Amino acid sequence: MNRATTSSLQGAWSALAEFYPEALTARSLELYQQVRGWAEDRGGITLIGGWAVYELVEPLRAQRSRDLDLVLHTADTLHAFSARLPEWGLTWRSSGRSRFKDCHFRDDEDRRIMVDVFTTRPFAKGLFGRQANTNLKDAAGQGFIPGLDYLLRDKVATVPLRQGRDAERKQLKDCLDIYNLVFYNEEGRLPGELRSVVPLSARRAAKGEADRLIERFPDHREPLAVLVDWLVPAE
Amino acid sequence: MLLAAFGNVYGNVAGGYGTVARPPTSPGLSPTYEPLIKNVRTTKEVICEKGDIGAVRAPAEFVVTRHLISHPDDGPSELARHVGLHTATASRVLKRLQAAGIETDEQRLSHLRKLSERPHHKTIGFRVPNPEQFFAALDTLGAGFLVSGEAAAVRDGIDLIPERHLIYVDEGAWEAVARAADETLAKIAPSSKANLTVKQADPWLCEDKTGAYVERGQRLLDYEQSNHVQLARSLERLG
Repeated sequence: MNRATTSSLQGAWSALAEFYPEALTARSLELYQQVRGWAEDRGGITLIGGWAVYELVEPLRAQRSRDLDLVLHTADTLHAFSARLPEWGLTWRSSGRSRFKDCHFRDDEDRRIMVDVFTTRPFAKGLFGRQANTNLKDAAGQGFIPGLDYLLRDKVATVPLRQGRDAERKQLKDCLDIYNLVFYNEEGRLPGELRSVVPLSARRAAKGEADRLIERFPDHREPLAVLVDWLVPAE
Repeated sequence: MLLAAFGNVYGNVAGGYGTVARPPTSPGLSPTYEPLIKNVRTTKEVICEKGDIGAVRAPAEFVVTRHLISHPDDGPSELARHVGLHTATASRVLKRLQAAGIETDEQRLSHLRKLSERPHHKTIGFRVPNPEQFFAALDTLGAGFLVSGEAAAVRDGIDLIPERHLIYVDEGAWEAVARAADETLAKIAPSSKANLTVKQADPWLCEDKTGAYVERGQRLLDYEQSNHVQLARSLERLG
């Protein structure tokens, strides 16, 4: 099945349906495909977040994302990316702490699709000075589509870091993504083996949040409970 | 502390099925409850518990009738060879069936339903996030299995999307089943909640030509136990 034809949301994750309207994720898909075409040619960029999960899970389980998350490996890549923004209809968003935090696109109904840009510490410090502690990720050795291990570690680490507006729904989406990576990855790797690639401390932190989500979203109790069991099995 | 102990006995806090490990008895635990805890079996113990085929002797009439559904032209010696009976036994059953005028698949199936002497299949139900991962794990562990139920129904041309899976394994494969369950987070579940049922094949059960599915006679019997298959067939008849 062509991934581009899969619907925005499937199965029981209806709590997220209003957060991921079809029209918005369809536009996000267009943007993703444009950026991907350029990024794969250029190199030095790694996709993470929901669209990376989309690429690594079985087509029938692949869910479109709303925002685009990219790790830029070098300062040159960041400058080249900036030069392409007008072509994609993107503009930098001013942020109190760092001018280079993220950029966004507004669709015809003025809904915002965020492109979160992450950089690695060595060149971020040179660019941002004291603000170099935000938006840092290391994607050394990863291609545009990251490896399953890397993405799983990143997704699990992200769960307890969600803050602000819509944090709980983003955490629920994170848990959905982790669930699909663990149980429906295209590589055919098994949950028991995948557990070992994520540090226990990260799994414990994510488990605490996932436990809370079970109370918050009782309709999704079963998959969340399965995820909790994968994160930290009962002894 | 007592609640934590029973949390393990009756599944994890989030409502999973089956036990994971025998909970340790606690120094603070009331002596009244200690025997209960000690009698708890782990998931692996339940899975690997020796099954009973439910028969002292081969239920020959059942076995032969079942096999004839996919091999209607087999003679006594072929029957005996395929299902593991003595030729004389197979011959006697064949003659009985012929004398009773049981010649078509429908008649054979109807006859099977009436027989009280039939093999028993040790059965364990699981709730597993992705059954395909379970099958892959079994493959990796070198444990073969035969498919029946809804997935086999699709292969037989019944129009449905499988939701519940049924497989048969050999007696020696339960250890692998336990390991596959552990690897894929499959939990023992009651039949109403299970999306995967694993049965122990009786010694006389054959595979079909592909080697991947149980023989047709057993498949037809299994379809009768599946509401989903029965509904799909009813809809096809209406259509």
